[in-house]
Formats: sequence, structure tokens, C-alpha cells
Amino acid sequence: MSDENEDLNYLLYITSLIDGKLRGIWKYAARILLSSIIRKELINELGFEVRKEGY
Amino acid sequence: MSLVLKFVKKGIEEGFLMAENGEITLTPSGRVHLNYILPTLKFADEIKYQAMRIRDLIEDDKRKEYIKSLENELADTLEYSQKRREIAISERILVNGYIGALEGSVWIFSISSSEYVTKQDFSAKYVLIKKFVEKLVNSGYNCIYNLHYDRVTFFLDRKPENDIISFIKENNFNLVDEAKRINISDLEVSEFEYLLTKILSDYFISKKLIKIRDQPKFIDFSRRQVKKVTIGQLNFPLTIFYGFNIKVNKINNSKFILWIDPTYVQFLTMDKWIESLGVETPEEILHLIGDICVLPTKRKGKISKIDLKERIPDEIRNYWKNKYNLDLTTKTGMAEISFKQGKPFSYPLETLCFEKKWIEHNIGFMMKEAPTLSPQERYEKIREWFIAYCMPYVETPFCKIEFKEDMASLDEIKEIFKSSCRLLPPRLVFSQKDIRQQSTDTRAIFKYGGYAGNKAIFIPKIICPSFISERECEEFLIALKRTYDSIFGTLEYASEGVRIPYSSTILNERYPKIEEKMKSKLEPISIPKQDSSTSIVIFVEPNYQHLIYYIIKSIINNSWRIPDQHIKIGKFERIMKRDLPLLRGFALHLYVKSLKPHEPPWILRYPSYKAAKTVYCGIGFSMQVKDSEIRKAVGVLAICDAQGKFVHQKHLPLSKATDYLSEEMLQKLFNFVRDKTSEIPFQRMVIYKKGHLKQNEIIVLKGFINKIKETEYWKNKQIDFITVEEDIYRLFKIKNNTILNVDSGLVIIKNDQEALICVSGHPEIGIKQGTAKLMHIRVELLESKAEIKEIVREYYDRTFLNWIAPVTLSKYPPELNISQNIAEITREVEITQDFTYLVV
Repeated sequence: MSDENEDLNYLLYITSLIDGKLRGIWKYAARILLSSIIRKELINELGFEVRKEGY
Repeated sequence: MSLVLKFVKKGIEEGFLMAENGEITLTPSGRVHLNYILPTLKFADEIKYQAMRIRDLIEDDKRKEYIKSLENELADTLEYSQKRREIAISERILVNGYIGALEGSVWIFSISSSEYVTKQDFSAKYVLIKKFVEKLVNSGYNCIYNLHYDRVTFFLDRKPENDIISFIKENNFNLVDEAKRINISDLEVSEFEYLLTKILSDYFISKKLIKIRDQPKFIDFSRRQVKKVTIGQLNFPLTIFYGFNIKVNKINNSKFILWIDPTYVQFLTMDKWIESLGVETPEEILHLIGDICVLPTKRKGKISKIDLKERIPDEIRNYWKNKYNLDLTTKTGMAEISFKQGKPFSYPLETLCFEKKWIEHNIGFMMKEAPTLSPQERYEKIREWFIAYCMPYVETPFCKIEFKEDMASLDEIKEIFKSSCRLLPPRLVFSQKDIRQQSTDTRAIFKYGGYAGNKAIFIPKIICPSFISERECEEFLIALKRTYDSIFGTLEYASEGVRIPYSSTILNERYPKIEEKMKSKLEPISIPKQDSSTSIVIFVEPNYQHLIYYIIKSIINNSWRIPDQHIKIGKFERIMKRDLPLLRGFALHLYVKSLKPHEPPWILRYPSYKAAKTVYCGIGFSMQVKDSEIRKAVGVLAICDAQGKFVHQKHLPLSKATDYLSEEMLQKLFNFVRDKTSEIPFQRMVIYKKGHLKQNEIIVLKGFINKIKETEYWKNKQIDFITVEEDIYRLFKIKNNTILNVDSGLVIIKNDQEALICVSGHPEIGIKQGTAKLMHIRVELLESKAEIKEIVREYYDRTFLNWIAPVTLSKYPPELNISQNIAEITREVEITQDFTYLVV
């Protein structure tokens, strides 16, 4: 599974959990969760290099 | 465009998402896709709790605040997880060894035969070459041999004459290498270390030290101490003899290090046993005793005749003095011992002792003393042995060895290590719901409660000695309830009839009688159970170790099918008096007993190896010995995931009783892992085992792995086999001229396959007594690309999952502890059904 597909899968999962109910804050929450997951993946997969660019 | 929006767009294009009225929702095909990929999402649980938490925070302020704390947490852990977990060692560290240099050479040659190669067992290989060793010794050679799997290498002090070579050839062996002379220092590492260990062993033996079995362990039988030790309920004088272990490591072609660690052996000798019990007649003694062992090798035999008044003849007295440096302290008492093979001999009672197993089953378990030496005492003892036997030099038939007088420092032996550092403890999480409840200190369990959330438990019965009253049981439960309820959930107990008394006199009975009596007492009792909570029985056991511990465990597990929690009488009384540390510890034990396989008390914040794609397995063995015969062997397995989120355990009977890692054991292990992990998409499995593998075990392991890799399930999975054992290595930290223990987490990487790590004590509290031990980790098989540094780090992280002892921690990962615990129980008693709880 490519990284992009994996990120999309996480997004689908987050969507299924909060299902539009968060309205305005939805994007913010998704961003936090997604960036947290991706960073974690990076820590675990690549050692300690953290992606610099923001989301 | 932000990345999230990019993914939203992609999701809409794929038909997985739809956006209407500013709301983004899943389409039916999105849902189908999600169900399909859900098992592969690695942090699904955590995301769920975080998302739910955000959803449930109705007020905007609180929601923002929570998101902020999530961000901070992430930043913190990122910072911590980066190189900061690995710090340089700044203190001066001494090692328990001395640097030596030697001058000398040997004649070396190797021989082999087709018969030699086909023999599996090394003792069978030895039988084939014994005649050559005898011939060499009889011809006046100083000779050392090294049995390899495919050949045997001889080291001689002079050139082998033609008659030796002809003799070897006449006996169907061929020369693999012609005899040549070589400087000992130029030998390759393993050959050098083997030879020098043998040379030093012979040297110490010539100085009247006694070598214990095959180990490089040397005991001085003139250094003895008689110490009263509690065995069961009685005090017995044990005779302790002191000595030391050694190990040799080559540093380079001009120097090596000799490691020394003090040790001792202890025996309950027959004269002391007779004196303590007041047994008077030979008939009584013969009636009580079965097998007996002879010092110092513990050769087993049976007493055929005994005379307590017979004077010990002077020649026997001299024999023991000359051969073993043992001065007999008694004047009378002799016994005739017959062996399975060979003639019977007469021995002074003082030189006869009992086997540990016999003592445990007939007298009781030995009370654990605290004989371990403090760093300062150990340092001094090492020096004492070194000066007595290695200074000013060691002269042997092969070489002369000179040592540096001061103990070596870690810096001085840098050449034999790749690197060293100190690891800081991993982050641990104590709540599924609140990600902020995390710490690097395991004791945070008492602050946050368990990751599995609150648990309700019910105490239907307390089995206790009859002198503990119903009122005392109630006081104990009231104290316990208060603590348990404040940390772990709710504790209820039976309102009446909670106490099941047993008479302490039962403890003096023999094993089958105790089992029979306890069975008839407990089995008819029906245990009230509550649906919403886990019933746990409390057993109050004697203050000393007793077989009843195992008996009760098996009866309750086999008949009542509920967990039991044991507590010693002394601790029961302290809990009644509201001793808080004890109360918290005991409440935690009950909490752990109530958990299901997917409910950990705490987990690692980050998987111990990469992205949660590894499962861990610990294996143990146990063999039941009855009347010197091995009755049956059990293989014990426990598996755990990379964060400690689930644990499964199993014990399985093995058809062949053997100490070695067998194909049957491996087959059962792999089947068990496959059954339990069918839903988990793991890529790598790490198997941990105590004790390094022998050469023949590695062959079995590699053969088995090759075979299993042909099956569909294991085809693409990587297997790493890691063994761990306590080794001779010790380290001392020097601070302000004081000798201290090194810190937990100190790592020394020896090479690509081996590392040493200090996991003694709690990182915050240190070690209360004794000297820290280094665990010797060895990679026996590596299919993944994990580096030794990563293997050690994952081992270290996993030792923090020792849920039962957050204050003292453990030297082993939970999967290994669980398999060892079950192995210990199945060694003593029959367990007919799987345990209903985690045997941590």
C-alpha cells in the first residue's frame, strides 16, 4: 500500500468516526490526527527523521 | 491547498467520500472499502478514542483545549523519541576483568572421521577420541582438545611424534590439518578463547581449586562458612564454599581480558542434617533418605551402610585434604555409597549432601537470603581472587601470562565492543481515552489506573490458616476495597462465609497428602460468581516458600476455573494495618488477574519495533521429575504484540522429554502463533528464549525455519530468534571515588550478533541491593533487517511491560516471564486446563 493510499485510508476512517458531525472543527481535528499518525509512521519507519513541511 | 483537503478531494474522486452542505461523509462504497482495509490500520484504536473524545467535547473551548494538548503531546513525544533516548555514558566505568598478555606457542592439528561427524552428541564424539587423549597423556604431552561439530582440534606443548599420527590413522581418523606450531596470541578469536580458558582452568586446578562440572567455575574448598538457613519451617546449617567464575575475551593479538566474578556453592551435608533433626539410628536414616550425592561433583548414589560412630580413617582425611583441599571438621561418621556403575566406596558423612529437589520435596524450599554482594564488596572480592591466583604472573606448560594490576575500564577494552550508550526508558500509556495519561515511569499505574479501564472484581473466598479470624478477613477486605476502588475500579466481596480455614499442620504433610486433603476440602465448595465482575480467590500462604502454593494453583484452576491470588501471612497482616505500598501492589495484582488477553494494564506509546508489524513470543520448557525419572515435558508459549496490547499464553505437552529446543516444540509454537494471529497483519516475529542455543539447536532451528517457510502463512514473514542469559559481566560506576552500580539502560554492543544490557532495577529508584547484572543478548537467527542496536532497544522497551512489578521491574520481556512462570508451575503440579488469567 502506498503512503498516499494509507493516508487516504486513515482519512476515511476518521470520517467514519466523526461522520460530518464536527462541522467547522472537523478539518482541524482530521489534520491533527492525520499529521500525528503520519509523523508516528515516520518515527517508526524511518528512524527519527520528522517530515518538516506542515499540513 | 492543505494536504487534508487534497485527500478529501482524492476520496471524492474515488467515490469514497461525499461533500454536502459543508459536511463530509462516507459513501456506501467508501464504507465497504473501509471495512476491507480496517484491520491494516495500525493506530485505529487510538484514533478512535481521540476522535470520540473530540466529538464528545461539546463546548468549543474544551475541544480546542484538548486538541491543543494533543498537539503538545505529539511535540513532546517527538522530541523525546528522537536521539534523546540514547545518551552517551559520561561516568568512568570499570569492568570485572583484568587485561593480560601472554607469551607462548602451541602445536595444533585437527582430525576427523566419518563416524565422528555422524555422532550427534558431543559425549559420543568424545568416546571416539578418548583413546587419542589417553595416548597423548601417557606419552607425556600436555594436551588440550576442542570438540567441534565436524572435527576435533588438539593443542600440544610439543611436536607430535610420528607414532601419534600413525596411531590416529590406524584408528580410522584422518588429519584435517597437519600439525603446525603457532603463537597462541595469533590463534583466531574462538580458538584462542577456548584454549586460554582451558589453560587457565588447568592452572587453577593445579592450585587446588575445584572445577565445578563443565563450567569455568572454581571453588576453593578451604574457604568455607557454615550458615543457618531456613528450609521450610526449620533452620539448617548449610555449608558454603566460595570461589569464582571466569571468562576470557581476546582483545587483539597482544592482549586479552580475563573476567572474574565471585560465586559460591552451598550444600546441606549429611552430618549437619543428622545433627539438626536429631536422628539417631542408621535404620531411621536409611528409612528417610533415598538418593545422596558425593561432594564436590555431586555424583549420585545410594547409601548401603551407615555408621555414625565409625572413626574417619586418617588416610581418608588426607585424601580429602590433598585432593580437594578440604579439611574435615568431624571425627566420626562414615557411610558406604553404591553407584549405578563402579564399586561402592566409603565416605565421611561430611562429604555427602542432598539434591535440591530432594530437599524441596522432603524438607521444604530454602528461604531466599540476600547474599548478593554490593558493588563495593564485589569489587573487593574480585580483586582478592585475582591477587591470590593471578599475581604476579601465571606460569603454565603452554605459556606465561602477565596481567595489568588494575581492574580494566570500559575505555580500555573498547576494541572488543562496537559502541556503548545509555537508553532512557520508553514512554508508556495508561489510558485508552486520555492520551495525556502517559509516563516513562511504570509506577504511574497507581496514579492513572490501568489502560484497560476500570474493572469490577468480586472476592468470593479467602482460603487462610485457621488462626486468621472472619473479622480479620473482613478488615483485610475493607482496606483492600478502599485502595482498589480508588485506582482500579470496584471490589466487592461475599457478605458472609468468605473465610475457608485450613489447618497449618497440613503443611508438615508430604505432597500427595496435602493435595488430597486440599482437594477434598475445596472441590465440593461451589463458588458464587457475578456476571459483571471477575471472581478471584485469595489464598493466604505461609511466610516461607512451600509446595502448597503450586497445589492450590492447580486445584483452583482445574476445578473452580477462576483466578487465585496468593499472599503471605506477613503481608496479609500488614495490609490489615493499611500498609499503602503493599495495598497498592496487591490491588494491582488483583487488577491484572481480572484482565482478558486484549486488556493490558499499560502499553508502550510506540511499538517496540517500527510500525507495529512485529509480534513477540517467549518460549519455556519444564520437565516433571519424579523418583529421578522425567515424567513429562511441557512447552510453554506466550505471545504479545509490539505495544503490549494483547497477550496469549499456552502450555502444551511434549512427547519427548529433552532440554534441547526440538522440532516438535517449534512446530507447536508456530501453530499456536498462527492460530492466535490470523487477524493480525504482522510481518515479523521475534522469538525470545532464556539461555543461548547450542550448536545442535541452531541446526534444528534453521532446518525447521527453512521447512516452514515453504508454507503459505509463513512464506513472507520474517523470523528473528533472540536468546538471553545472565552472564559473568559486571560493571561498576566510579563516582567521587565510590563504587556504584551502573544505571539501568546501559548498553554495550559487542558485535552484529551480541550485546549486553543492564536492566537491573528501576530507572528512577535504582537497585536496592546487590550488583547490577548485564544480560547477554544474542541473535541466533535473523531474517529481518533489524540491527543489533534495534534488537537491544526493543528488548529494553519490552522489559517495561512487566505489569506485575512496576516498582522493581524485570530483566525479561513479558512474553518470556509468562512462559517461565507457567513452566515453573507445570514442573511442580498437574495443570489440566489452560489458565483463565495471565500468569504474569
